[in-house]
Amino acid sequence: MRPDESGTERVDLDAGLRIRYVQEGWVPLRREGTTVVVGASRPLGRVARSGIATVLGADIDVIPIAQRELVDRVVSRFPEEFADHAAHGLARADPALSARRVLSRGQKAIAIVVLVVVLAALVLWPLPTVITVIGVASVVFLASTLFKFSVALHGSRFDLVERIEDEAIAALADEDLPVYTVLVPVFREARIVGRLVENLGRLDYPADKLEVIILVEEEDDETRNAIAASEPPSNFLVVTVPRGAPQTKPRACNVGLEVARGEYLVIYDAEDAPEPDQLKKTVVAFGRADASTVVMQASLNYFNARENVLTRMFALEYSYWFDYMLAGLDVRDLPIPLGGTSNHFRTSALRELGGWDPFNVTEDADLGIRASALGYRVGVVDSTTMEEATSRMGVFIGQRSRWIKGYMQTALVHARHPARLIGRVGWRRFLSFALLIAGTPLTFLGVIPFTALLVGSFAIPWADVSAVFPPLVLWLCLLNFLVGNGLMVYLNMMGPYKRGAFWLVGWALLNPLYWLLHSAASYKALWQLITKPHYWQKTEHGMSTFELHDTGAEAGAATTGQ
Amino acid sequence: MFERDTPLFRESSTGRLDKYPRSPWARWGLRLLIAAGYAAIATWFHIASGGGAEGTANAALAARVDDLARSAVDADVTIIGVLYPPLTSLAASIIPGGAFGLAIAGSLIAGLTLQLILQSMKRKSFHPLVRAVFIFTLATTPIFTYIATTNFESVVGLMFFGLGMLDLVRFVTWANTQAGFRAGILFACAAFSDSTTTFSALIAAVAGALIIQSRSGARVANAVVVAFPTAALFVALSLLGIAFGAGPFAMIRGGLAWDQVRVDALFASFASFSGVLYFAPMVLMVLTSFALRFPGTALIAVLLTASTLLAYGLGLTPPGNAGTTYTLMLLLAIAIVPTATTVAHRVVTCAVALLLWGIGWLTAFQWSTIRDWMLTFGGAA
Repeated sequence: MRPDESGTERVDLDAGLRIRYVQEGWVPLRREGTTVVVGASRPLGRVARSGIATVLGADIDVIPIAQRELVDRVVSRFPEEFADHAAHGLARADPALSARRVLSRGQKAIAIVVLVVVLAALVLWPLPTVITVIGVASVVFLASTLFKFSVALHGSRFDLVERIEDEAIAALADEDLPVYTVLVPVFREARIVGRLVENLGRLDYPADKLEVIILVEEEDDETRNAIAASEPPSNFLVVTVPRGAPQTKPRACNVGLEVARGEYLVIYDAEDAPEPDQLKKTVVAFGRADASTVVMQASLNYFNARENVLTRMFALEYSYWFDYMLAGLDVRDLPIPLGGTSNHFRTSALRELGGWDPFNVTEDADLGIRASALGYRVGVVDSTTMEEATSRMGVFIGQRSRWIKGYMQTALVHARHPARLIGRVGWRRFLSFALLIAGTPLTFLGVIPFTALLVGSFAIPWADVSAVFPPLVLWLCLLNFLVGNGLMVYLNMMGPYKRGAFWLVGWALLNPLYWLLHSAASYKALWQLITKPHYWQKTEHGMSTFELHDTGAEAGAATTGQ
Repeated sequence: MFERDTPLFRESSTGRLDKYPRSPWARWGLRLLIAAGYAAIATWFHIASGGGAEGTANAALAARVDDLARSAVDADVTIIGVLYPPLTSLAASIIPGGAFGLAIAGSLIAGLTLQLILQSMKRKSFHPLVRAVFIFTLATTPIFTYIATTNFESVVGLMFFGLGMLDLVRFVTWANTQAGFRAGILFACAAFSDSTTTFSALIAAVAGALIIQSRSGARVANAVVVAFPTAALFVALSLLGIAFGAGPFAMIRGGLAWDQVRVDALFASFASFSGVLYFAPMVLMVLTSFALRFPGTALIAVLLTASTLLAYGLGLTPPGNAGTTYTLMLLLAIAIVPTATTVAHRVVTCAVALLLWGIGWLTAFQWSTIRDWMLTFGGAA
């Protein structure tokens, strides 16, 4: 402590208390004689004051301070500590749970052995090996698509069920509601932060119980300035994420998690428009769930579904995934990979889980599987967040390649100790994980080769080559491929039913072409997994030219089709 | 922006419906009890005919899968065409006991079908009398018994079709999404189990557009959902047929070909009393549809009859097949007839069922195939 000219001494903050400062909402400001002046962002009771005095070893005098100022003061004082914990906290706690290393030593050994065996077999018995590889790939393709369809079909039974009644929401009293933290990581999104303030401003939740933390990278002054220009309400905090690597969304979120005060916490993207009662619905849903349920996933859908073919296909895909597939996984108590945004957590449980893995580029999917693997339950909440679907091909491929690479990372992370995972979650859930998380990238990788094989088979005179290559085997493999594609088209047709967007059903027929794009993205993902596994391919938002307001009365029709 | 579909009618607010009977033991007990009755008849026929099931569809199927097993070793892709309809052919290939084994398997299918139909009527809150009359009609008509015990392909196809129709109504009228997507798969299963019901999905797609709609603006989408699996499978088989140089219809038992001789013989039979009986269920359904003020159902009945005739004309109907149209009509009636709200409505419904039962018995005595089968029980074969 050093005295200044006015006779007061500045108090050095304690790095070990940095989390306590921000979460409990107090921070020592200065020493005046024998008293420490403490800034508090909320009223402190006698017990709290006494506790703080004990920690500081002095009498305290409390003055009010804004939480945003408090957080800013603490984060700017300990940038290395925050950055280090956000990047390496999970890997330090359990290296096996982090994607920092793509392959464990054991996985490397297995990969080398498999590669050598396949190459040797190719040299020694080329044709049987090719037939075996094609056969295995076609079985994986069919099994993965069949699994998705059967789970979604199971979920479709409940699409019209009102899980949280309006009366239950109306019965909630503001004073009884818990503090809710909303994390919004943004990076170079200056042009859409205005929309963020508007969309989150629609949330039906008392402002004094709602803490919105906007996470901005240290280098991103443009976005920080844009936020300031949009004059956010006082419960919006802008937290500067200290420089560090990897520069990913989960790393930023981990900083947010450290400073969050809410009992519950949710993540939204900058362009998200959540249903206004989503937080209240989630509070009710958590209240009805048992303590093992640590996270609830809300549905995502797109407001710009009508914009072009790509956004239509995107809307179909999200509709079946969030409205049917996740509902099916939930009902069957299978591991749920969280998706994108609108994941609502019990904050304490999220901290116990170790937060997000900053090295995994689908940190949300990874976290959902990790929670299941550790015996927690992931549920779904029947509420929707509207997003902007990517409408440009290049951006789409980039975004998909990140998602698929993330699924590859997640599959590899949770397959490091398969026996341990099976012991914890059982065979049924393990197979579900394998078919969904590992099966998805494998399926996409298979699309282009199988399509080429199908197209090529029109040119091959099978009768002439039947002596060396049994056509019946290939016929069965291609039938598997076609049936798998048919199942996915059918599954996409299911998507629009919940929201009554029946005009979208016919577009599902284009899914085989849509999957060719996925396949291209999957090869990019595989290449990136090898060359730059932790690279975060940023998706540009705010590029849509579609305006709901332009369509006036058709606003609803954009999503409902009515 | 966040709107959801709000159908006029919903089957259940919780997404769950009770099974009937509730206990799994009771359900399986009921299925096996019903199946035991048909199995006893099949056994009786087997003994009375001296083990000879010649001329029945089961005998033809057993012989076909036997040939298939022998030639499978050096088969090329054309063997797939011989398999058609593949679901029942593959099932038959693993069912032991030849035609008799298929008859026992058919009996089990019949037991399952009747229990599920009973469950459906219970879920629709049909009056117990109406339930009893419909089950009695279906279970005790010799046509259904003949099919269950002599035609494995047909009884499996009819089960899929019947359950598909029940699900179709749940989908379209009661906004049950799961039932709709299951219906599409069931119709595909029907088409790939029994060649006579090849066109059932198309009829179902039309039927879906003609019955009471719960969701506005969903007519076309519903039709697409119901027809897609069947259409997709046929397209896939055709594509592979072309790719492997066997032709687009090679996977459908050597291809589709209009058989004018068969058609002429069929049309000639229409002038007879047998022909009148063939159309009687359809006419009854048409009249009932107008009486109950559901005229759309009349068209479904007509199209369903036409589809079986088309399958016959294209040579898709296997030898020894009889009574499929009658049973289809009966299943259609059970699936589509709405819950009676008045006594008059209930009387009409029961009367239709009893009339169909009567037509069934008359037909059985009139058609030589079924008459000969019945005479076998008295040792006349």
